Amino acid sequence: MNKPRLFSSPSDRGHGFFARGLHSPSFVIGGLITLFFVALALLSFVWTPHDALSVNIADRLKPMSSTYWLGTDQYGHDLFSMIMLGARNSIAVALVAVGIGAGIGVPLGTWAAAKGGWMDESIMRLGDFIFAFPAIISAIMITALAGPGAINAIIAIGIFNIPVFARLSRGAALSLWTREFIFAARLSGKGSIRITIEHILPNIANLLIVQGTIQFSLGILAEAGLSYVGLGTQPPMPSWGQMLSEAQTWLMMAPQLAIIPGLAIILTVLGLNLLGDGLRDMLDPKIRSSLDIGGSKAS
Amino acid sequence: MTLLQLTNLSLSIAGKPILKDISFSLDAGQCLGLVGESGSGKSLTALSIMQLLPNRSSLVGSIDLVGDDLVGLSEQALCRRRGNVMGMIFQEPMTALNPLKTIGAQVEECIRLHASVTRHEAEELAIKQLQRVGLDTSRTSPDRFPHQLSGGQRQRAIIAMAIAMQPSLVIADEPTTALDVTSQAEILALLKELMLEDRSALILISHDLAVVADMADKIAIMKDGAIVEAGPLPALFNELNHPYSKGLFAASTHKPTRKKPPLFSDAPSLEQQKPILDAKKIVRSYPLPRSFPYLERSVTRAVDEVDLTIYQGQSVGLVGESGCGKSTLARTLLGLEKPQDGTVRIGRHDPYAAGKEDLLNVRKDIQIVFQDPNGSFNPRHKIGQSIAEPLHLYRNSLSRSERDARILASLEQVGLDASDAEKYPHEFSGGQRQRLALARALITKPKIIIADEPVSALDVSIRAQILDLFADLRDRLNLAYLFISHDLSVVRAITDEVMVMYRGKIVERGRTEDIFSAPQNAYTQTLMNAAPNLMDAIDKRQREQKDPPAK
Repeated sequence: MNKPRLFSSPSDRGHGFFARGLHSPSFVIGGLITLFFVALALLSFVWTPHDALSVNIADRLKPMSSTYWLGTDQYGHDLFSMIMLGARNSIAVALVAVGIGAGIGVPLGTWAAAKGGWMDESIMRLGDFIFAFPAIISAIMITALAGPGAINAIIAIGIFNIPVFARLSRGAALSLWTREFIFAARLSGKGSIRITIEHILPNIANLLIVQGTIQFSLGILAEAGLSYVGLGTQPPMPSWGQMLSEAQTWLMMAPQLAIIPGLAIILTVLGLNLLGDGLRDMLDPKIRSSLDIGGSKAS
Repeated sequence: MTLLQLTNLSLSIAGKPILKDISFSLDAGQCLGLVGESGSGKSLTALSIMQLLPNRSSLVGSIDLVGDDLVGLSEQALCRRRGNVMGMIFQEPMTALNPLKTIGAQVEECIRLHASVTRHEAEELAIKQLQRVGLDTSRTSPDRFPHQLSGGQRQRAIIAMAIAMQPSLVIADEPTTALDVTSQAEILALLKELMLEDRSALILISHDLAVVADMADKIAIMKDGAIVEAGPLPALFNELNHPYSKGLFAASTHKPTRKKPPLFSDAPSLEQQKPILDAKKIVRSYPLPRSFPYLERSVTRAVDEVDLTIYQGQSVGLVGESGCGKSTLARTLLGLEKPQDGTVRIGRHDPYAAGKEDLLNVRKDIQIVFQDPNGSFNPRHKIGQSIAEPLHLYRNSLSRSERDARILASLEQVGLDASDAEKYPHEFSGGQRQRLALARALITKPKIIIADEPVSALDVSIRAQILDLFADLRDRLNLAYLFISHDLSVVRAITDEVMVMYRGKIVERGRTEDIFSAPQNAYTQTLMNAAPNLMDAIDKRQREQKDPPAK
């Protein structure tokens, strides 16, 4: 009798894993889009078509051409170069924010699951408290208190990510704690920290990776939102949200100034969400078993 | 009159052949037992008859039910038959019932789908059906939800749905596997009675030969999607031909051979010895949720003043229904859940009072084997790593080569190879995994192993092998066992003494044979009578055949 497994076994991660990924359109499309923007961001460190930071009033508001691939803005900045730098900026902010969220949230969540009792209650209720504030409002609050800037935006988004990861890892860890191999580990005289590292974390890594991609896309959106209201990345460093907000004045004369950064945001978020969905389909045995032979239940 | 006729039925799912040339016939009012191990295709045979097959399956052959071939019939025509001329009872009553609807509404739904009756009439009919299955509406309201019922009551509700339209064919797929022995006996008796009342035919699917031997007129033994042997009962049991069915029969009545006589607690040789596990008046209670925020919490005593002693080399069984506190007791004895009252001693030490150093040594003496072979190992660790886990108790006092030698010795003791240490758990079968669980338990050279339902999840033939291994290890290593099980035949096969647990208390303890042949306590007697026993069932059937009971 093949019980559907709650957590996939190591063989699922072998070479068959990516072969199966190629059959999942959302994984392929999402992966390609994400890869494209990551490549743009990395490339911006060594090369951009023009200096994105230099003002060139003579070439202001140029349309798309072979010199300026996506045209220029009101100061004559090359739009394509700005998009590249913006990608670097968005990805860096979102990545660090997810890192903060996972880095603090996962230990808190697994700790709550391991200890239980009042410790569990207080950690999770604190998480609920943070959750109760809409993400963008609390980010605005933090940046308003600590002053605008990329670092503060990172902290604001990161704090919002903590309860997300804490909840997820607590729930998954709790269901693992009742499993028999954990009992066996406890009988072997292992403490809860050691059990968490050896047994819990490797078995919830799948879930965390999927959640990570989703939080990553939310982080990019949040960063764009903060920069749009002027609380995120500060000029002259370009960011997508800030480009959008500056384009408002020129919306009638040069709509591409708003459309292009808008498209960049939409595409990145879409790509990451598709990637997350694709990964979840591949990692979640409940969905996967429906793709296999009829659940292969025969007893 | 032939009611159901399967002719050369073959099923393949996504190109993989599942059933091969299944043929049998069933007369009205007859009971067919379909027996086989997991994966033999019993359930899919049932689902083929109901035409509830998974996607991408293709069915060849014919299923003739009262003159109509069900294969290739339109979905609409099938819907008219399902629940009407054929009903089905599933294994797991909790998942077979809709948790959001009352049981009355679910029975009523089935009636309103098939009979042209008003809502009010359907309601009355539903109540009548619930009464027929023993859910007296004065005590069990039809307005109850599935979660408010016990397992046995839920299964009765499922049966009420299946028989609501008095179908001429009822298929019961492992109807009692998820239930306790006592409810199992009640449900089986109920099924028998209802079949007689409605003159319905019953296909009873089970892995348990004893259940089928008691109920069925005919039996078909399945293996790998084919019927290997079929015939009338009880005659067939005397003339089994196929090696597989012979093996199945032997495994069902299997008793491991003993190399040593059983060891009883009152044996003179034990007078000077101290018990290896000694528990006195253990109480483990859990707080219940408060009914009102400021009221005092009431507690439930899962383990209620239990005394228990086990000597070196002795194997003691612990039997009882699910929820009677067996597993809680095991965790308490292992030192994982501190009892509110009473003392536990493993060897010379109390695990709850021992210092760090002593605790490590205590844990080396007591190990556990779990029920679920799937959950016993971390799926991401290699077997070698999992088996060596208890060696953590030695901290760093073992060298690498000593560790490896221990792993190898453990694997050999349970009949596995050194190369198996490099594999992952999913590469092993259920029986092998249970061997590995034993290997892990043996690695610290314990004096006592607590086995919590170690063979319940295994097929009969594998079960016999694992029981042999348990018996062999006991005799070779002079191990003591606390053998926890709800399956009385397993406990009878392996233990010297038995304790019967009921609602947290030990109600009876004694020599295994004494308890089984002459139980003293009223609860023990009920338990013993309810437990299906293959040989007894065959005897009874043969006697009935000689002089049939007056009807």
